[in-house]
Amino acid sequence: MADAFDAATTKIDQSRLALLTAIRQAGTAGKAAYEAGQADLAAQRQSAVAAALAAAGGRGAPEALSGQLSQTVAQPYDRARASLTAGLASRQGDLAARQANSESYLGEVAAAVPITRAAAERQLAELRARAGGAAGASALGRDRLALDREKFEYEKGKGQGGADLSDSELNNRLLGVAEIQKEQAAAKPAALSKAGFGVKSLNSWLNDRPNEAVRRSAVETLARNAGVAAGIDPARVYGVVPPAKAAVPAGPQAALAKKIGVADLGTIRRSAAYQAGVEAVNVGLQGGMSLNDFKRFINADPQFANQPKTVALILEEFGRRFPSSQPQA
Amino acid sequence: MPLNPLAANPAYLAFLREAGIGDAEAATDATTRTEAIGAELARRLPRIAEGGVREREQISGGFESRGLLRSGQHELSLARQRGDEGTAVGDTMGAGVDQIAELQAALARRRAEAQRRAAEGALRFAPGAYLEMG
Repeated sequence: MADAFDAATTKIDQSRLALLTAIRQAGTAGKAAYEAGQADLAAQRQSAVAAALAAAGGRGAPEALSGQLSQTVAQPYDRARASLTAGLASRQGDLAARQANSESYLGEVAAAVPITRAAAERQLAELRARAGGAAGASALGRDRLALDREKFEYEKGKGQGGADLSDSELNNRLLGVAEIQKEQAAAKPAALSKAGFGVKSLNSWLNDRPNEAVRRSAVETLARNAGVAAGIDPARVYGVVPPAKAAVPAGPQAALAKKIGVADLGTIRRSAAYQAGVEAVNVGLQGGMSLNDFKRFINADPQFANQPKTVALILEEFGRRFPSSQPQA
Repeated sequence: MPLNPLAANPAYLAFLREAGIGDAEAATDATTRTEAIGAELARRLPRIAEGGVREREQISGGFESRGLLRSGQHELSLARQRGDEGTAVGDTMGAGVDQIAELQAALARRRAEAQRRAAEGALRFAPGAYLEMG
């Protein structure tokens, strides 16, 4: 079950962002063209001067004339080479300025995105503090374990510390992770039961949790435990709990269709663009994205271009599942 | 529990695909146009050289008809013609090189934009993610 904290354990594989470094190599071909041009002109200059002197010598021209001939022939080539040198210098200045802008931009990205695991964990701590309570504590444990697991797999994959971490040790660690996760899953409904939650108080507890993933996790765990306690095969219990889907009454649906300006919302909802949009909604909500940020993101994504009704429905979905986000100017 | 929502996010994958395809198309386009400029230079430079040979023949013919074939003036006229030829070669090559450099600069600008979009896309799709640089 993914929750808001899963997003914080995401590692952006740099191979997926190869474009990040493309700018560092870009522009060298332009420089190479200038350098090749200069080399070619130098060769032609030498060839032209040699040919002129050879031809003059063949006609018996005096040796004293050779210096003047060389200079007359070579001067235009030298001017052309100087022009290329100036062009290259100008271009390099432009490249340097662009490189500086790029570096500055990357610095801003690095400031916005933690570039180390420690920084990511600090960001996690902020998220945990925001969540608070039992759900926060549970998420804290899961996050630590997820980071541990990822770290071990990463180090093992890179061969760093591989000698210290055998397959069996890794398995033991992962089994330990699974056990702790199981305990946490069991502890959550137990804490709810201990607090004397009935249906009303559970509803109240759920109402206080705006994060859908947290609500879904708690309810599913309660349902599973209830099923197991009632003697149902755990395998079946775990298989029969479907992902929560909020039922929307027909009235609001019709109103929504009218608002969007379509007769039937089903066609849009079945479209690939809408499905992709819902995926984006999930990720956006998990990451704590504001409605404004989400709007900007959707409007910037070319796959939603020229689909205003689909976009409107996606934004409605975001707003419906994140009721505290108000439209902002 | 999916550890990497980005990898399972079709919108983000589509975004990266689009960026990758766009970059490949731009790079191919720049290569094609660079090669076209190279081919144009390969056509024009020999023509300049051939024209130079003809001009020198005319210059020498003129001096020969006046009985001045072995004069210093004849040699200096030929040298000036070779210099003019050098100017033409330099201008032609300079224009071609400038065009190639501008193509590469445009590609660099496009890549910088793609880079910005990729980084911001990652931020948008997974605000809690972290980058591993280097």
